[in-house]
Amino acid sequence: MITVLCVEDEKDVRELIVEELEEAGMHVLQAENGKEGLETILEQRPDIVISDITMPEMDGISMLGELQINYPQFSNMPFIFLTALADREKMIEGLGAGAESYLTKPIDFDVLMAKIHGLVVRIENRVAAGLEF
Amino acid sequence: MPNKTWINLPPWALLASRDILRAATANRRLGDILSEITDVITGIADLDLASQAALYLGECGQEGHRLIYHRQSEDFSFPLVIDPENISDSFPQGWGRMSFYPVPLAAEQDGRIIGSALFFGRTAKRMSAQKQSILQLLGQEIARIIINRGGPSGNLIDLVELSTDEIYIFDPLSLSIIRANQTASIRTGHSIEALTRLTPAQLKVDMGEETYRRHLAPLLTGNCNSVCFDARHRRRNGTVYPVKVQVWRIRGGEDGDFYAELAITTADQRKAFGLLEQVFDAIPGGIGVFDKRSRLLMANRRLYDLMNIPPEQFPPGSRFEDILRYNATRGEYGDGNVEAMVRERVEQAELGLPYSFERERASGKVLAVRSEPLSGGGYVLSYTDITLRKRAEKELIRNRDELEATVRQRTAEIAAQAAALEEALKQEKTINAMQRQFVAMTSHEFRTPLAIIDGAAQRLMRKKGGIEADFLVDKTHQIRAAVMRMVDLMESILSAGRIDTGRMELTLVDCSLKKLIEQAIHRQRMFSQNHRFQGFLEDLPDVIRCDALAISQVVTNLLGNAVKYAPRAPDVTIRGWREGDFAMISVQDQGVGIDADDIPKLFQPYFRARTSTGIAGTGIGLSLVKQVVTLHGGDIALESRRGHGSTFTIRLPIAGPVMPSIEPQLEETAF
Repeated sequence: MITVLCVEDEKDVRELIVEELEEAGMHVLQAENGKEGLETILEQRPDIVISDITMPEMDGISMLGELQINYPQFSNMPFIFLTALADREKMIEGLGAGAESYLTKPIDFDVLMAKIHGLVVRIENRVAAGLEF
Repeated sequence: MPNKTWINLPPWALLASRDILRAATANRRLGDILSEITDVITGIADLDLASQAALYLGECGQEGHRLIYHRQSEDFSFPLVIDPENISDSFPQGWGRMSFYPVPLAAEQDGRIIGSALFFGRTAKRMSAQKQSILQLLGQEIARIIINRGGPSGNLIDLVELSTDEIYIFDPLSLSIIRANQTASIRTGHSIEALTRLTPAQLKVDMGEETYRRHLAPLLTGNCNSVCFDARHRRRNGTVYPVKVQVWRIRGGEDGDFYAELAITTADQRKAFGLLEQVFDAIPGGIGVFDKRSRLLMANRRLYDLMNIPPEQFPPGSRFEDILRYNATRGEYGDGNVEAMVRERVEQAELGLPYSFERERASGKVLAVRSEPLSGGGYVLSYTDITLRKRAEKELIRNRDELEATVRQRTAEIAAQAAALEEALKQEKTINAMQRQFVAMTSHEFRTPLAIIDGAAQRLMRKKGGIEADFLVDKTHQIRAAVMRMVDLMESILSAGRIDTGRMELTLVDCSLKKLIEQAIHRQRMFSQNHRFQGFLEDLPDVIRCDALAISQVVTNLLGNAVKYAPRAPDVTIRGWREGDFAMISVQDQGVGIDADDIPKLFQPYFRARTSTGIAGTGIGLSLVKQVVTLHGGDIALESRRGHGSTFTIRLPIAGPVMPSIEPQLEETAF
């Protein structure tokens, strides 16, 4: 089963995403900010991370940066930004940090889920090919 | 006529001829004589003397021809002294580019020579015999004119009386004056009678009897008939003038010899001295000439004025130190030992070095004093009144200082303006940056509740299996909360806009602050279920006059902040109490806190504290709170430290703002 980590400080938003993912049959981990998210990633090694950017303690881009620099073993882990920051500069910054996708709020669940499914297929293929466990 | 004859004439004869002319002057006849002579000369056209010549009437003595009268010639500077040795028999004799022609003035009747005339002119080197004879005739003619006009008697006493030089006849043993002439009286200022009580030595400055006798010594031996020396005579009024002294030994027969002193103030000397006196008096400053022994030789009137010393007390011959002592005693030189001050000044004057200084007199007059040494010893002191100049200088300095001060002030003003402009520009840039950030944040702030609403709606549509009642309630709840959030957000942005443009008006009503706060807490609890709100509101006044909606917004904002900036510290304490005429409300959290240097800027629109990094917000909430509270005539205080939470305290006048922006409304809004 695919494990997805949802990092989001807005409780209501987080709940909606979690519902959607769980309904799609995924195992969902939750974190309220970047710091918690980073801890969860290191401990539970999720397959996919969906993260907000603007969060207290540690924002999403910092979390990804931290991961890329200090934990290269996670550099292949798909990372999706899901943020209310819709400006172009921020999108460039987020993708430049190594994100797989940069999606903006309000959330289009069809797009989000298509992205997730695409990633799931890729991951399963790699596992089937014996590239990953 | 042999020329030598007149050259070797006894000096008395020459004197006589000269004195005749002088006497004529006194009788105002010289002008007549001279104009006649001039007529004669100009009548002899071929002598070529008319335009260029100078007529030089004079005596020939030991010291050469002395000028008595001359017609002005552009080619000469008179007076000239001509060495008698150089006068030969031959005509003409060279004198620079000029020639002169000595002509004896011989009386027609007896051939007696009464004087001589020298004709100067730019004539041929050699004069024709004819011209020479004409000149001889001219000499006779001049003699005739002179004799006809007043004629010399040849009598010694007459000569003495007529002389325009001072003549003193005195006893060689006692030196007492037997007789003095009118000129002596006029020049010295003593009466003739008074002069007979004096000796020639007493008339002289710095010359004692002994010295005088030493000068006369050669006469006593009988080896010579006359002696000459220079001296200075002092007038009765104290002024001094130089004289050339000739003393003659006159054989007096039975009465024994007596001496005659001829004190000559030569025409040029006299003229120069007179001129000097005039010049001295014309000088605006005070001038005093002192000899090497610091005795006053000569001074002008102004010197006495400026030094403020009485002229009669300090005539020429006075000692400089006496003048100084007089002044020192009066306190002109300040306090101190009088003798020491006098000595110091005399010593400096006698050093023989030029010096100058400025001195302010007790009267306030400022004097510039200057001393210039004289080549033969002695010195000239000059006093200049520079009071006005000093005053002008002070004025000038004052003006300059004022100008400098003005320039400094203007420069400072310009610098201040520049700084203000720079500050304004900086502020403008900051505001721009804050506004850009605000737009980005606003967009973010709207998108978040929108995401909830849209997300909840999508979830309702996408829910697999049937929608249960709980799920529906849950989603509806989320949607409503998000909508509420958006409304609040919109309200605060609109309020901020209204306040910014000065259009915000308070709608004042009497309301219960306690109820208003409780409702705000209640609303906040709905959104912030992780936080605990504790209210202590019992001490609040029952009713206060305020814009209930605006104050409600204020409290909501503070509560919202207490939650937002304290994600990990759930305790929020709200207190309310009364202080005099004011209602006090404080909201305390245990959150991130605020850096001390961020606190002053915290209420500026769009400003966000550094500790807010990563926490969404527009930066307008607190500025709005501040404006609303200020409009109510209250204020807001903040106590905070990074990492130690914040306490915001609001003070509102219970009676409402002093100048309500609109008429109070009658109805009471219930809370």
